[in-house]
Amino acid sequence: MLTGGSDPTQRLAIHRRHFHASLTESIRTRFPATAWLIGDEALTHAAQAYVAAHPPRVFCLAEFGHDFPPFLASQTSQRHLPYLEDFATLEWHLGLASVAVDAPPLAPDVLGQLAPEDLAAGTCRLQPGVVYLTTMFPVDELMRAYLTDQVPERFEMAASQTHIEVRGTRGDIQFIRLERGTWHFRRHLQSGASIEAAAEQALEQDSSLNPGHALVELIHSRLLTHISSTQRNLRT
Amino acid sequence: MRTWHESKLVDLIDPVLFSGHVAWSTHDGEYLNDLLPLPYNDESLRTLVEHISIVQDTFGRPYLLENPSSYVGFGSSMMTEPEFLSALVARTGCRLLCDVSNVYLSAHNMGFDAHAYIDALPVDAIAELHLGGFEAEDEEGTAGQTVFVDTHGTPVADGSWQLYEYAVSRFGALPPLIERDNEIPDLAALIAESKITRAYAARGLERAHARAVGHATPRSPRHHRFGVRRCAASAHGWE
Repeated sequence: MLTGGSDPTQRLAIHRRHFHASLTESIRTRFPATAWLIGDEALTHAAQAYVAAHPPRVFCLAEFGHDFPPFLASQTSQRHLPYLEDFATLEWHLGLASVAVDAPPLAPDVLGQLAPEDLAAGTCRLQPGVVYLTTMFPVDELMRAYLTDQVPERFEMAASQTHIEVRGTRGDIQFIRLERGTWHFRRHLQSGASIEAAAEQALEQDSSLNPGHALVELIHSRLLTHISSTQRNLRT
Repeated sequence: MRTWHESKLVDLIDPVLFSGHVAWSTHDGEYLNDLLPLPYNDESLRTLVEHISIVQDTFGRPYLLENPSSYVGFGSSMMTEPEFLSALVARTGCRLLCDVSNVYLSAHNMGFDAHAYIDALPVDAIAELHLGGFEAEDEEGTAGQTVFVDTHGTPVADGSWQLYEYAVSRFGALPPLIERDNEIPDLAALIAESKITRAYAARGLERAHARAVGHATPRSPRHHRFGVRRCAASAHGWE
């Protein structure tokens, strides 16, 4: 039995209202670029539907909404935008990168400290928060235009598989387009593959990849924080 | 309770005060993002005693429990909210954060005496005070009646200020914090609110002193910093 006022069940509406309003606002504030793309009203409507269909099952509100992009794209009203899910997904990861903190990177001379066979068998740790995305549309161009406030009057986007690296350093967000081979090399390293195995898998995707150059580029990009081999562990 | 995350945060910040609400917010794996009411009975007491003990053992410091804003109660409650909070203190050694505006709001919504509520709290357990704005809404189905809704989006109401003065006269000069979650005003308005807080606190201490004349020495003022949550307003030290 509830107490409070003449009809306490009516007061439960206060809690229901806060549940819906606060979570909808949480989604809205995570996707401002997407709101720009489809309109505030459309985003709000989709956010309300998402909250009702998929209430949070994570305790950290900052993690709520990771599957909002595919949900949004599935809405009947948005099916005319085939690149919407890619765009919103990129935005989600930019949001995560905005609060990432870089670890100290390995120094460029680290490669000289390992014998070639140890290096090949070595596994790497990349900067925390780095994400590798594959999109079916070049949504990075549209996102960059939005972020730099340089959106043209007319923007056409043809389908084109795009490989993107997203990273952040204390609020400084970066997202760059990578060549297919480089993307696969870095992604496989991040997944725990040895340097040799990551190179082999990347070459299957792009035979023009130069693994040695790719590794050096990785270090010069300050992305590598740790190399482990059976003989040594190299870290900053 | 995700103690790993909180322990990392507590280690990083080493907060002076560390608090949570007397409420629940999860069900069947879903996080409801609201502070939902508890019946004040033995079952709730056992559950909260267990949780508070885990928190205090994990973080090695006292945990402050904050009174909620109330819109509904339960027929299964066997004790008042102050009695429930006092029992938590007695059983766990935890301390209390008295949200004075929540007391004022809940007294209006639930029909109890706000001053009696303040009087019933264990004085020595109170470690922090909160204030916040609320909005009055028409009560559904009851003409002429209003319910106060805790929004943290308006200035502190006169009734809350007056209750704050009374609370200070009871509890002493504890660190106050005004909660603003939205509709945050400019810095000048926040500083003005800070001055209002000092004025009411000073009057509260005067009341305490006047009451204490001829009785035991009242609690002395402490040095605390006043801050406004979620706002870029400056913090003030006060004596």
